Amino acid sequence: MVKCDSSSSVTGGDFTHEDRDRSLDRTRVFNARRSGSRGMVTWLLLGPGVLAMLGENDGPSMLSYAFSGATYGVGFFLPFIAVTFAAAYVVQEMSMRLGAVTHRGYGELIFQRFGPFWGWVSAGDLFVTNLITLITEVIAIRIGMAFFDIPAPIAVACAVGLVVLSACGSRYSRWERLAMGLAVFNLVFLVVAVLAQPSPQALGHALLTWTPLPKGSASVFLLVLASNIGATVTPWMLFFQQSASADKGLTPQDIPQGRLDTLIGTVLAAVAGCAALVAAAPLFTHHVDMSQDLSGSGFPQALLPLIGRPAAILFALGLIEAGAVAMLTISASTAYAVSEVAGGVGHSFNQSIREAPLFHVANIGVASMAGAIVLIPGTPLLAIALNANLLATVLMPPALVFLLILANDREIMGPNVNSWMTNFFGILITALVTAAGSAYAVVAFLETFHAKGH
Amino acid sequence: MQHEAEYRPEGDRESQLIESLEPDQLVAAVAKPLPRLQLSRTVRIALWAVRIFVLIISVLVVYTFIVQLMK
Repeated sequence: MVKCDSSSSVTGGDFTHEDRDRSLDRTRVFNARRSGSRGMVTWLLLGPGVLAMLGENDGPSMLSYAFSGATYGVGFFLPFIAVTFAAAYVVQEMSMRLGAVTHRGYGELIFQRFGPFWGWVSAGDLFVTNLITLITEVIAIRIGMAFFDIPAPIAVACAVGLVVLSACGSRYSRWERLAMGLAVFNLVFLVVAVLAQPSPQALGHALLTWTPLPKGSASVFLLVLASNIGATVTPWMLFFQQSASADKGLTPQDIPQGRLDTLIGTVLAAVAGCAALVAAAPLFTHHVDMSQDLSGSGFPQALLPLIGRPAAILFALGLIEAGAVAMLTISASTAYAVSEVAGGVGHSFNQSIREAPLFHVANIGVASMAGAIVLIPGTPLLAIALNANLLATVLMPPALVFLLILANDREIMGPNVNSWMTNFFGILITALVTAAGSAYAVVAFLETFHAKGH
Repeated sequence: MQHEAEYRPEGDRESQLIESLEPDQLVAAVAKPLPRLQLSRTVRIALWAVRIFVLIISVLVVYTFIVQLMK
């Protein structure tokens, strides 16, 4: 296993502020483990997995699930969403393990093991998808707040202000707990789903039989399929969870707790995602066409007469929460990626803006950029929101290929390389994500090209 | 740096800090880059094939996106 020869060069004098903060967190884990308090160890190590999963239940993702429910009801897409979260677990477990074993971020590992070219290309892909996704998060917050008559500039200022506020603590653990506190409210969609009074028999039937199957346009079905995949398995999650695991200070000894953290995040996010679909299913039952109003403004309004004002208010609040948590995690993943591939600069929430200027500027800068774009008059917000998840699906295959190579790299992973079963599912997921993204791209292109010709 | 000196632990506290972190987890250790992976020809071709494939698909998606915007 390739390890840096730290023993010869790292002395007490080489300690930094970041080392001290991380060591304090690690001491708590060490003491909890020594006292045999399993619950405390799990609590202390909880974070990156839950945040990656609930952070991915963001504005466009919840809208994507709601659109699936409004368009196809609780049939095929209810079990499909559950399966995509199972796929997300497989992928995120690999990135957690890489972070715990190498103590390095995903962008950093690609840069060092594959060279600067692939490092910058991966960071470039991430920057583009993250910027577009962040725009949709600001849109979600703006739409949610519009339901309460809050003007757009104030909504955008709140979104960007949250990112600035979260970075002020100069401590990873503070940032993480703030984000987790917000993320818990993702389960508000579960309350909305209960208030929608779905039929338990219909839910059970859908989960067991994957029926009724979707009917109608192939390109709409493929768009929804690709969007739902992009709503659960995305490049930023890889960058985020690996970097956050390293920043938190996870070690190979913590891998079981890292898996539990990822599993808890998966279950919570899957429940909230399925709940968003179930909450919007009454629109399908009452034949309300949401295809012309996918920006989300229509969902709380359209649901108002069907499930009542309290549920519609909760739906709008859920959109604000989904956008807010994703603002934090996606801005963070951009900051990690940019500062990791830049090399030799600080890339931790345990560092102040003076110690890690690029990291903090990227974190706040990308959020500010997204906010500014949303406020530009005439920006096609609806089209951007629709295509954000799709873009994530299209750009996912290279990220998965790098992840699989790194997770099988015995030089850096030693005995913690992928098992054959993880490789089997990893390759299967890569193939399915590639097929789903390219199927939509080809079908939609042919339909558009054909329509333009006529 | 002044900031680091301000936080530098002293005496036994310093050794306790070393014990609670893995040696290769320290900032000074992580700052040293890992050696470059020796990629086989097959892997390099596969990486380029995936990249070109993604570029082609991206062009189709961007084209569809622009045409739909102009409708």
